[in-house]
Amino acid sequence: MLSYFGRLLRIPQPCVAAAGRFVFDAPTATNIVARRLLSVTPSLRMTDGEQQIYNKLSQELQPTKLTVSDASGGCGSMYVVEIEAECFRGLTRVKQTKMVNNLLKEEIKDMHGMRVLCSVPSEQ
Amino acid sequence: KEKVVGRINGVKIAELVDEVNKKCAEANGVSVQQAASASQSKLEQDLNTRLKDLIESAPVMLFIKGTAAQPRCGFSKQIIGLMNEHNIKYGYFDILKDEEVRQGLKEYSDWPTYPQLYIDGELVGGLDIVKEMISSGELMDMVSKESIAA
Repeated sequence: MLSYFGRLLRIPQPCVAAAGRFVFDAPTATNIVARRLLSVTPSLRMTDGEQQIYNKLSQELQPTKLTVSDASGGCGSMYVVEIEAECFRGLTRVKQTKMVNNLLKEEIKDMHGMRVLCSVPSEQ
Repeated sequence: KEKVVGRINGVKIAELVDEVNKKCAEANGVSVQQAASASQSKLEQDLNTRLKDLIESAPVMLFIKGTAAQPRCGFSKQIIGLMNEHNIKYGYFDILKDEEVRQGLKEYSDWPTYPQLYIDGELVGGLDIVKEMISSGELMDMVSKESIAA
């Protein structure tokens, strides 16, 4: 337990400053809870690489569902893209994947690999 | 009638699994490597012809890293496994042995990765697409009866 709090106290200032509201003097009840949340909540924000890909695909394909994950632990060498979009309807899987590949030509140059999983929204 | 095709002495699970996979690959997969390297040519015109011939050299054609018996990449290994599991007969080409085909085919088919599966001369896709098509039943529809091993 003590070592857990010790780890909390060592959260670097800049990361905390970004959150804004927390004061880091003595560990009061409030900011211990806050720091615990910061340290155990998985990052909900995308990496820069993920964000770039996400933005481009969102803009160009208007997907109904889209997730972009860096599968290389943040290194940007392997991505997994799951995308559901109306514009894929009627196209072969190869054509769907090529649409995504073509939009990400520049980004792909820096990657070791990319997996693209395309789907079509279920008809309502 | 049953026939002994191999033997592993002792309880060596890993070796047994490898040996079984090798035998399946040998039974179902035919390398088209030799025919390809015999007619090497550096002209781009000939490269496209060469690639087209390679793609059409078997009704079910796989371009993989390594051989069917010894794939050198996890994705290639999985795709071979799927072919064997569904008793599909295929030709295969080891792109690690031919840099010209390795790079040329990516451009020719506008597909950046390996493994690549072609059926009747048409690109079906890579591992992810093949997995999806197997679970939807589409792949088995595309494969003619002649390509299913007895």
